Amino acid sequence: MDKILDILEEIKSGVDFKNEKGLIDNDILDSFDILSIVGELEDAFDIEITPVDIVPSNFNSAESLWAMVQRLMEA
Amino acid sequence: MEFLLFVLAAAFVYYIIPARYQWMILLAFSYIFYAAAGIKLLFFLLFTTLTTYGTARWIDSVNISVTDKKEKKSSKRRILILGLLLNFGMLGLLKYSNFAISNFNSLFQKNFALLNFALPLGISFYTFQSMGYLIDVYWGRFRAERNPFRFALFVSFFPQLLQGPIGRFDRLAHQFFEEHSFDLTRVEHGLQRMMWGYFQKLVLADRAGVIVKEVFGNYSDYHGMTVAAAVLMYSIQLYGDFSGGMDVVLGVAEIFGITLDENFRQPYFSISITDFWHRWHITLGTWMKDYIFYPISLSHWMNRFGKYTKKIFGKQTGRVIPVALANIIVFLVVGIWHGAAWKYLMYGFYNGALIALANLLAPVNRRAFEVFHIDDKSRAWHLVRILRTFLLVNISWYFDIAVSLGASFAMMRATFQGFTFRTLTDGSLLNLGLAARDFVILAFGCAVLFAVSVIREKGVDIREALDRKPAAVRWCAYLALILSLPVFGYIMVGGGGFIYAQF
Amino acid sequence: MAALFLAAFLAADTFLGYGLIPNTFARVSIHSLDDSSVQDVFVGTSKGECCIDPETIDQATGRKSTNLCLGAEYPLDCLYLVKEAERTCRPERVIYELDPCYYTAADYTGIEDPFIFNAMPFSTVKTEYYLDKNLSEDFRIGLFPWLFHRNEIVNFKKNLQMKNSEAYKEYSPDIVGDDTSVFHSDGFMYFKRIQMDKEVNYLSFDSSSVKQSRVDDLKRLISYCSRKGIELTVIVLPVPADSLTEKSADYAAADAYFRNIMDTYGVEYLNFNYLDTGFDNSLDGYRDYEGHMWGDTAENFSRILGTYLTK
Repeated sequence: MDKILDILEEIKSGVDFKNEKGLIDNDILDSFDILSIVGELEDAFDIEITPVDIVPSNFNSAESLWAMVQRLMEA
Repeated sequence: MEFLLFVLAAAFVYYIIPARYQWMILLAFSYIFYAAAGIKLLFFLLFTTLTTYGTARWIDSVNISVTDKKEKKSSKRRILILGLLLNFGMLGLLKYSNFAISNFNSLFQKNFALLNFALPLGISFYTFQSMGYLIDVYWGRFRAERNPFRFALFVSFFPQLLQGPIGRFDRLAHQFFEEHSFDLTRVEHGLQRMMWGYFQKLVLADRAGVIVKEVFGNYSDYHGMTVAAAVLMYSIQLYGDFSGGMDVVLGVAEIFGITLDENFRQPYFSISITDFWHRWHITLGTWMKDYIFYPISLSHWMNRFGKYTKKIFGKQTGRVIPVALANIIVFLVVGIWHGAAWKYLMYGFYNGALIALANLLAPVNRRAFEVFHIDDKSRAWHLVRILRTFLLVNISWYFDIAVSLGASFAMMRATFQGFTFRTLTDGSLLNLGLAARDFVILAFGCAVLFAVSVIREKGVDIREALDRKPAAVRWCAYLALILSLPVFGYIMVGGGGFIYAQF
Repeated sequence: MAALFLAAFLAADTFLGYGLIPNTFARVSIHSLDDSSVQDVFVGTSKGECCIDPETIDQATGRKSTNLCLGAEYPLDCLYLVKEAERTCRPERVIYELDPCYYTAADYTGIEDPFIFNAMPFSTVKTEYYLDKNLSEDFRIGLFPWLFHRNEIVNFKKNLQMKNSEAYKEYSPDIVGDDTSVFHSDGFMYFKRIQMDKEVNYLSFDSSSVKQSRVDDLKRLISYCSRKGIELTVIVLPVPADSLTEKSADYAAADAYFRNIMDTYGVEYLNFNYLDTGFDNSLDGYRDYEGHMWGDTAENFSRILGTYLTK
């Protein structure tokens, strides 16, 4: 989980990733940020993220990202 | 008037019959609507409906019956490609064959005959909407619709058939098939939204369009400020027509209890071209993002390309280049979606290039802000960005509205010839088909539009806010809106339709 | 609440109509159909309006006629005027003044309306007329009958007063029109001779530019009259000699085109440009090259027309 926070903070500073629940819904992350996050997550966790995974329910918060990563690691 | 009576009749039947049959009424009326445009065109609608329905269910059956993961994936992929080819192929054939043939002819000095197909109404919209559905099924976002008639409604729902918005199955399906009870407030809101749409179209768009038609239709006769003024008029016309059209569409859907996706969000308040495409023709943008941008950006070859650019240009820049490239590709598609002409390709490329440039120059911008002590959160800078974006958008209109790519460049050059502000006061703008009074009405209408936009930008739902005011205030507002249509609306000589209904 | 709002809207709409819709020629002309003794009805264009004097014609024919010709009255409008006549006074004969330029003129919407539709009282004919002509047009035409009169706002008060006057309620022709003409309650517009430059607007006719929908409307008129047992005669008014010489090919082409249609349907067809009537068609008798006559010329012509229409 900390790794997720590190990646997020590196890509976009000044956001409270610990508590923010509307990263997509509140237009905090744009598509460029999302792609950067995807790139970092794929490298860090050796997973494959597909377009299907790019939905608000996965990207709205650090927790949901972590949940997605864990799902993809198991697959 | 036919359309309004049609909606009235449909709504009447919709609320009279038992609620569980409501979606069938929508389907029937949607097909009547489409058939009224031409019985033969129904073939194309049915073609897309049946092929998409069929391939989606086939993919589902492969999901169930095939066990081997690899075989499953490649089977599904082949079915997907079949569906995409059939439908985009049909769209391509009807819309782009002439373009391809004439370019082939000029390139190779041949003289093949053009095919001159008639374009079925709304084909660009319903094809994209259906293919989005197919791709979603392929990705496993949801199961395919089992009932072909229910699926047919998704493709043909009449309010969105002609100019969008491009909808998503997971957001629309449950709305279509739910039971809707008659809610007077909701119907009233729908009617109010329709009236607001007609206001924008009749008072603003049709009026501004007179100047646009005159100047862009006879572009060699005009130069300087007159051309610039015509481009500005196009800003008004296109927004009033398209966004106004959307208000009518969404208002009609609302009467039936269906909430379609918003397509416009005060686009002229955008702070960048990227922002603009999140506010203008939103559903086209999100379609491109979900079905082209992300798939391209996450694809293997783009991944490899990204690794390569990171190696050459370092992590910062290297990460941006693939995104910039993806954006250019996406906007070339956006351009070509608009039409089969080089000017549209240029329109797309212009937008894509600006976005790509913004992506690439982001770190440079940040450095510039530090050096020049610009507070990028300040109101002043916000205003500068809005104006800058508005200017860039207006430049893009040259490619959109000029009769050809050559004409758009000619008109750009002409704008600089003899450019003087005196044109605004010496009366030459009164020779284009509009009288002084028309400009006053336009100004007044734009002021109203601006006020409404500011309120909406702040997040206020105007209809609900009005609901809370006393009856006298509400009634005055509604009457003023309704009566503005005959009193201030422009009267076309020789009929006028909505611009985007031809796509 | 919603019902109340609707009522308020209708009230506002009606009030606006009351003040904006001026008195029109159409209103006076159509009122003449309330006289059930009318036997002959003229329908046609602005030329027919100023060239055909029912009073003079009746002296020759011994019948009662009325002139429903109006400017911008296209074949479809003529059809519905005839239907309206059939509904009210059941005429025995319709004389259609055919102007070939109405078959090739560009498509129109609204602004040129002769306001016939508004002037008709509410009836099944009017409903049918709406569905036929305006259903696929701008919805504002149906919802706001005063749409094309919105510029009358400057005369709002005057219109209200006029609508309350006796003259208006009695369909008096004296309060409609202007100083250049005298309008009669039988629909005849008498143009007073004045000094003016004559507009050069001769016919340009080419059978390939004929709008098929208008010919279809003409055919509907023919078959309607046939169905209802109404005698139909088609006439073409004489144009100034100068115009006839200048564009003789066009006028001849138009004549051939319509004569052919009339022969096909067995309709009596009188083209006064090619009949030896003794009528003096020198340019002096007209106010323009298209063929609008001064009042006195019209009376002369009507005498001649009357003899042709005598049974």
